[in-house]
Amino acid sequence: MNCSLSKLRRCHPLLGTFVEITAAGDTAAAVQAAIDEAFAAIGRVQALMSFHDPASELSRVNRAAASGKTVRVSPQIYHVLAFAKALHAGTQGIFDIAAARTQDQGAGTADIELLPDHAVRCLRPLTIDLGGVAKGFAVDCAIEVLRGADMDSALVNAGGDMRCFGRPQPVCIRHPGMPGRFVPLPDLNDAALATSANSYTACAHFHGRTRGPVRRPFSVSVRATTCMMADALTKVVLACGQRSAPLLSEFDADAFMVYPDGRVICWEKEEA
Amino acid sequence: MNARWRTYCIVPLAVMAAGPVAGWAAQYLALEEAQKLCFPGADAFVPSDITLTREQMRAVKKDSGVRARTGTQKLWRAMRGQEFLGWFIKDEVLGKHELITWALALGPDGAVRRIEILDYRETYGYEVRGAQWRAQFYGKKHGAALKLDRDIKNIGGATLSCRHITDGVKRLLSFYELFLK
Repeated sequence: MNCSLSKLRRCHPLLGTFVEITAAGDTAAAVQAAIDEAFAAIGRVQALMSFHDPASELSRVNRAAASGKTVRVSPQIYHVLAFAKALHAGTQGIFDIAAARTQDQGAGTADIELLPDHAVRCLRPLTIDLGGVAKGFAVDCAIEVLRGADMDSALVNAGGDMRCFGRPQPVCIRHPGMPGRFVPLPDLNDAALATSANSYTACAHFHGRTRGPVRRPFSVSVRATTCMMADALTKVVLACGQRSAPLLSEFDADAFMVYPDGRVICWEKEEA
Repeated sequence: MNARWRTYCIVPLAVMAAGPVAGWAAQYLALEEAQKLCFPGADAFVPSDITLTREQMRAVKKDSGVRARTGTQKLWRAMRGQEFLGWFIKDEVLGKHELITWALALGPDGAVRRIEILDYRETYGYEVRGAQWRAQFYGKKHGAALKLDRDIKNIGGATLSCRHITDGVKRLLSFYELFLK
């Protein structure tokens, strides 16, 4: 390894949270420029996929969805919608990007129709909420920029959802129910880690099939190749617990369920 | 490769060593570094702090909807020779429990150029207010903080809101509008 590498660590308020990027490369100027570009990529995803910003592309899609109109979207949103549809099908509907209130009316991710030329149409009125995948996707976009800028190694941590490449990174997660305690997990190596829990807040996740709120005493961390996959799978494991094992195998992911008493139940690949 | 469910019992970091409290801190940028990053072309940063009266603070609150914590605003004029490049404003907002130091750079027209987090601190429990506990990691460079089993660096889990920064931007833009423009 080159000993004269420059390593920088920066933090910007984005995606409603604090996004931290650490990167190492040949010169400080090159690393700073790459980090700036990576933050800009995250900013672009935020501008496209914000649920609350009426000017976002997602809001435009949702307005069209209300009236069943066909709308052209960016390749990024199209890509995320295709991913969500595939995971919706793969989880028999447990993973759903339709907002809870439209799920109540029977509409779901399956009603989103992806047409050629990045066109999207919704067969039933529904509101799409990309909250469960957009942050992971943004992290993936930032990682792509950092790789493209020839960084030696990098880590992007968007308020707890992260991905790294180049060198193993020590990671720990917040202890569910005990703020200020950290549970160490295995080092992260060219992979992503996302965590979901609802122990700190009253807000619950929703089960896409039963439509009921999902409340669990444990937090779920999923390790996968992309942060979007990890981010999305945490919701599935939160809903299904240990019954999610076949899915984890299918998507080549590992899961860690951390209980308030310090028990960690994990699904982790073993080297043969 | 095969996989199965396994159960471990893990002693969370910071429980045993630090007693009933824990914390985490990161210094991203020193003041001068942040200034340079916001205004790479500047050759001087002229201190221009402004202390607001109670009346003026109320005016900022009225305009932005956000209350100021302190009357004195740390700010600098970024200059290249005689040319005015913009304002560099250093500010603090409350994070989860402690203050976050951050900076807002405005162009000469008052447009937001850049936002940078300088220092981020997070602590828990009343004991953390004690100087002795703080001493264990304040002032240390990153990489040296909290050597337990390993450094607490890359933290996953519950998302922390950056709403106070967003509010801070609103407040400082009102401050600019009322007193710098």
